[in-house]
This record gives sequence, C-alpha cells and structure tokens, in this order.
Amino acid sequence: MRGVSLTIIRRETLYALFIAMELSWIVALVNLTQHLAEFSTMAPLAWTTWLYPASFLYIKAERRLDLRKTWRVGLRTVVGGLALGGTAFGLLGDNSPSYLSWPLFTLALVAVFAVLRGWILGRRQIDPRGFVAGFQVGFLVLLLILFAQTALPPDHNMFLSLIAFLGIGLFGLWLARWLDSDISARRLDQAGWPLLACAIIAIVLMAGMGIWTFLDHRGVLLILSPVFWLWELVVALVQFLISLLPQGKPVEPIELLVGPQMPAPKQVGPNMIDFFGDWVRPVGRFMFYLSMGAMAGAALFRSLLDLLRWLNRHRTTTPAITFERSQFGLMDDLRDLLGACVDLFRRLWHRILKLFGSPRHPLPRGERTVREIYAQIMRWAARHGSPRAPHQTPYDFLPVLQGLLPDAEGDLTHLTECYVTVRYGTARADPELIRAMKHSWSRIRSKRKRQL
Amino acid sequence: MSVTLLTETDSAIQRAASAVIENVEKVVVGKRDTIELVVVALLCEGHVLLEDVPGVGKTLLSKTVAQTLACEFRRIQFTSDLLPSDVTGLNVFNQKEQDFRFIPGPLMANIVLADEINRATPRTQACLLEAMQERQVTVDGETRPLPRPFMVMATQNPIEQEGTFPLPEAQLDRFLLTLRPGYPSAAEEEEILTRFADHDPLDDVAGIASANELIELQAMRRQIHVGDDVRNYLVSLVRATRDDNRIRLGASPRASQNLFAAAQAYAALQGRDFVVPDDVQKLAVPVLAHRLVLGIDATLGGQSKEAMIADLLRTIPVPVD
Repeated sequence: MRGVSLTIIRRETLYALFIAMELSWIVALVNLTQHLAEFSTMAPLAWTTWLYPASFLYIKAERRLDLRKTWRVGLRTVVGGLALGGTAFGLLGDNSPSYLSWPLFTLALVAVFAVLRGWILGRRQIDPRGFVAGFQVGFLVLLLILFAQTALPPDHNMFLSLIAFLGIGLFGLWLARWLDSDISARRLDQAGWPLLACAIIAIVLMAGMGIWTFLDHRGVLLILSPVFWLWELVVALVQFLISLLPQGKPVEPIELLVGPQMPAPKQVGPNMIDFFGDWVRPVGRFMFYLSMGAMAGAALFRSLLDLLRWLNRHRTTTPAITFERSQFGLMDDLRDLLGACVDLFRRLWHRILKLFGSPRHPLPRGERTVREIYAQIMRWAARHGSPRAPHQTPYDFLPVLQGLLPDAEGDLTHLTECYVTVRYGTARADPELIRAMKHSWSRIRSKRKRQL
Repeated sequence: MSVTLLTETDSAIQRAASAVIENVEKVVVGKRDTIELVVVALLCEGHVLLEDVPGVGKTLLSKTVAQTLACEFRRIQFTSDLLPSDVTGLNVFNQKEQDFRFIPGPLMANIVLADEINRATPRTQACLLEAMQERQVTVDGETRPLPRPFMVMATQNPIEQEGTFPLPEAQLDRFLLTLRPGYPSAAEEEEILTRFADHDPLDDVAGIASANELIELQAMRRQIHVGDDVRNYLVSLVRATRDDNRIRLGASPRASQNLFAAAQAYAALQGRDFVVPDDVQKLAVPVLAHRLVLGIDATLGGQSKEAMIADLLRTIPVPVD
C-alpha cells in the first residue's frame, strides 16, 4: 500500500488545516466554559479530534513556513472553514429543523475568522510547534472535561464521547499516515497490521457514532452549542449598545436577534460515576491538581529556558527567526505557560505513538535537527520535480540536488556529508556542526530565492 | 566547517590499502575496482573467485597481490586428475623414524591460487570446503590448522564447459566475492603492451606488508561502525533474495555476514569509520550474485543474477529520513 507523497500537499492546505485546528480550540474552549457552567456538551471531545490529523500532517511539513501568498491562504482557509462548518451543519439533517435557519450566519462567522487568521498568518512565519501544541491543548481540554465529569454532577454519557473521540481521532491519524508516504510507505510495509487494525477500529467506532447520532440528535446539536453561546453574546452586546442610545422613546427588542435556545440537558445514559462508583471523584480531583501542579512547575522551567534561549539567540550572530511567540508580554507569558503544558503532553503523545506501533524513537535534539534540515532539502527537491527515490542514498541524490541548484554545489555537498556522518556514523551532532549546517542551508535558501 | 570522518584506525587501513593498491597497479593495468575489492576480501579474510575469460589477468592479479603482501603464496593448477591429498598434503611413512610424517600440501600457505578450480573433480573441490570455512584441514583423521591469514583466490573460465565440474552451491557460498575483471579498454591494452615489452613488471613488485600487519588490519576492520538502520537495510536486501519468486535459492546467512564484513572493509578503504548504504549497494552484486540460483523462468528469460540484485536494490528503501 503506497500513499501520496506529502510533498504534493500544498502549503496552503496545511495552513487551512492549521486554521481549522485553531477553530477547534476556540470551539472546544467555549464548550468547556459552558460545561463548567453546568451545560452539558460533548462537542469539545469531538472537535479536538481534528487535531490528530492536523498535527500529524503539520509536524511532517516544513519546519518554518514562509507565508507570503496571503490571498491563497485566505482562499484555502475559507474553503477549509466552509468545509468544516458545512460538515457540522450537514450532520444536522432532518433531526433539527429549528436550527437550519442559522447556517449562513455560522458559516460567515467561520469564514471571517478564517480569512482574518489567514491574513495575519500571511504576514509572518509560523512556529510549527504550534500545531503539535494544538493537539496537546486539545488533549488538555479533554483532561479538563474528564475532571469536570468526575468533580461535577455528570449529565451525559462519557463513554459515547470517548468513543467519538477515539473513533474520529484514530481514523484521522490513520488517514494522515497513509497520506504521508516518504517514510510511511516503508513503515506500512513493516508494520501494516497495527495501522490497518487502527483504521478498522476507527471505522467501526465511527459507524457506532453515526448510528448514535441518528438515534439521538441532541449530541449533534450540542456540537453547535458555541454558536448559540456566541449568538447570545452578540445579542447582549447589541442590546447593551442600544441601551446607550438617547432615550427618546423606548426601544423595542429586535425580534430577529432572538436566536435559538439550547435544549435543556437530560440524562442520556450511565455515567462514569454510576459505572465505577464515587471513588472516581477524589481520584479525578487528585489527578487534576497533580497535573496542574506539574504543568505550572514545568511552565516556570520552560519559561526560564526560553528566556535563556532568547538571550542566546540575540547574543550570537544567528539570523533571527520570527516566531509567533515570545515577545515577553502578558500574552506571551500565558503562551509560555501553555508551552509547558504542550511539552508535558508531547511526551505523552510519543508514548501513544509507540503504543500504536510506530517505530519512531526519540532522537537526541542535535541529530533530530540534522535530519530535519536534510528532510527540508529533500522536500524542496521534491517540490521542484526531483523527489528522492526510496532506493537512492544521500550520495546518489547529491548530483540531483546539485543539478537543481548548481550555484550551491559546495553547500549541498557539505550538508550531505554532515547528514551522512551523523545519520550513519558515530559522530555527534554538536552545536558547531549544526551551526555550520544551518549556515549552509540558509545560503542555499538565499541562492534558491535568487534563482527563482 | 569540515567534518572529521577519519579516525586513526581507519586511516591506517586506508593508508595500507592504498599502498597495496598502488603496488598492484604497477603490474595490473586499469583494474582499480577489482583490485580494491580484492583488498576488501583481504581485510575480511575472505576468498575470491575470479571468473572471466582467459587472458584478462586473473592469475597475474592473484600473483601480484600475493607478492605485494610478502605472504607465503602457492599455486595449484586444478585438473581432473588432481587428488585431495595433492591439495591438503598427506602422511608419508618415514622408514628411518618408523613413523608417519605429514607432508603439507600447497594449501598450507597464506594465499593460495586455485587456478581453474572448476577443472578439478567434485571430490577435490570438496577438500577446500573445510579449509575455506574453518581454516583447517583434516588428513587421516588429524586436523591441522592453516596459517593465518589464509585466502583462496580461485579462477575459472565461464565459457569453457567441456571437462569442467561446476562448483556446488556450498562451495560458491564460501567465496566472499566473485569478480569479473573484464577486458581492458583500448588505452589500457596499449599500456599493457608497453609495460610488458621490456620485462615482467612482476619482478619489480616488492612486498610491502607482512602477514602480521594484515592480521592487525583485519582486526581494525572489525571496529568499523555499522548503524542499526544500515544493518537492517543489509538484512532486508539479503532476505529479499529469499523472498523473490524468480530466485530458487537465495543468499544464506553467511552471505549476510560476508556482506556486512565487506561493507566494513570498503568503508575503511574510503576513509570512513562507519558504513553507509552506498557501501552495501556497491558490494551487493559481488557478494551476493554468485550465491543465487535462479528459477527456471528467470533462467529461460535470460535474466542475469547481477540484474536481479540490481532490481532488488531498487525495491529496498534506503534508510534516509
């Protein structure tokens, strides 16, 4: 089974995924807020599942992405956003006629966000760790919901939610892996059955989810709950603005602005506490406090580390790289805190990958960097019509690279030799070697831009 | 910045190997690749089968290598009436001492040239099996070790079939490499005429390495690093020969060992202290091809073993990520 090379997926598509994932966060967090306010919803669980394929695809993509073609990003993200919103609305069907009058509003909202985000992204570079972070934040949301389930009175079936989460997530993961061919072509050959099993489980679970959706449309409605919440906010804001008007004569409430109301939550099945007993609550609470404490500690450590790295970056002559984060304002502190959570969950993510039969082994940071740089070269060559054939060694591939960029023969040779030495030899990827590789790579990039 | 690829160990191997190659090239014209691979075999203490038409310098190459290494060299001309005892040696009754005395055969040398090996009967050929694998001979129930290093360089003519006995698979499997020197180019042939016009350049070849030095280099060769991924790649390649429907008999585990060692030696020759997939690819044909037995379809289809290996190399992904 061979997949399509990831290199043919356009960057803009990846950005669309990025934005779709951000939408997922927003919706998930809004839903969480609702949940803590004792509304019942399973939407965060469903939405966070988008993060699986998105993060997987993204971490396979270029390390840093230069987004210059804003309009393409905008267009793609609009399409991506519409697809996202449309899918949610498409699920409604005949089950919920009362909400069909609002799809245009929601779609417009999603599209506006997507365009704005695409426009902002188009002016800067993305730190791709954000994508991985996205998944992990989603996971954090899940943890919070689990906590809420144990600490607060339960009002919906947790198992169905988990089925949805696992089902869609596993399927997305499988799909993303299948799309990524360079490495997974071999990986699928070597460990095909776990992935296939994963896909089969996902399909079965998704089928279960679909059947359940038809039987109880309330779950689907809950997915859309953030729209209602936002709508209520808009109404409140408009009414507040109206109240500021000069009081010549009383202003009538605008009928059109009265949106649909959430149905009252009801018990739809056994919950975790019914199933396991009351001991779940203290355990859940303890786990929550423990994880939060660990995250706070890690956040402090991470912030300090980031500060040192930032100082180091400014001290050396390394060309500055624009990241979305770390300007050391309040928001950035919060992001750093989030980054710490991300780091914590990154480890968990690796564990999960291992459980699913992925042969990926954590590599030392230096070696990882060397491999990433070489992977960037390979992707660049693939985009220019010369992908490396699976049987080609780095030395076989070198003439191809040199043919693509004759001006950079020396740098390409140097990069290849460094990669070969670290990849197959016993040499350590020390900072000096990495710095030399980065310099070579940046020279190649500048030559490449001139050539284009 | 430059990356340090060399260590003291592998640079010693490279230095010694370069000296040997240069010395051999004083006699043998234009066979750099073949000479390099013979040195690879020397570093692995493996045996070489030189298979080509007569007159392309197979015997000359063997003699020159032996002379360069200043090792004990013996030549055995294999014929159909050659007996195993003519090769291994035999016990002769000494009347004066009233006891049997062992007269060592020509196999008791560091480098043995088995010329036209396929002309000997299977019985005589079989007497080499123990010597090549275990580096010992058993005569009249008594096992005698062979001197170290020990290397058999055999030659055979692939065209002439009459009066020959094809080497069995067990025998072929014991050869580390099969080399086909091939005809020289026009310029090389002219150079041969010039070089051999006045005198035999073999007379000028001096021994530049001793047996002990060679043993040391062989020990150093074992230190060359082979990463897990490259090891997996090598094993995948060897296993692919067993899984291919076109091949009736694939390469053995001994082939894996030999390919591993040969790749180490070749890497050392290139001045590296680690093996890269290129080394495995470079040596795949000389190490594996002669061990394969093609199926009937492939044979009738005119497919060669070399093409088959090249085909397999195109199907095994190289560890690059």
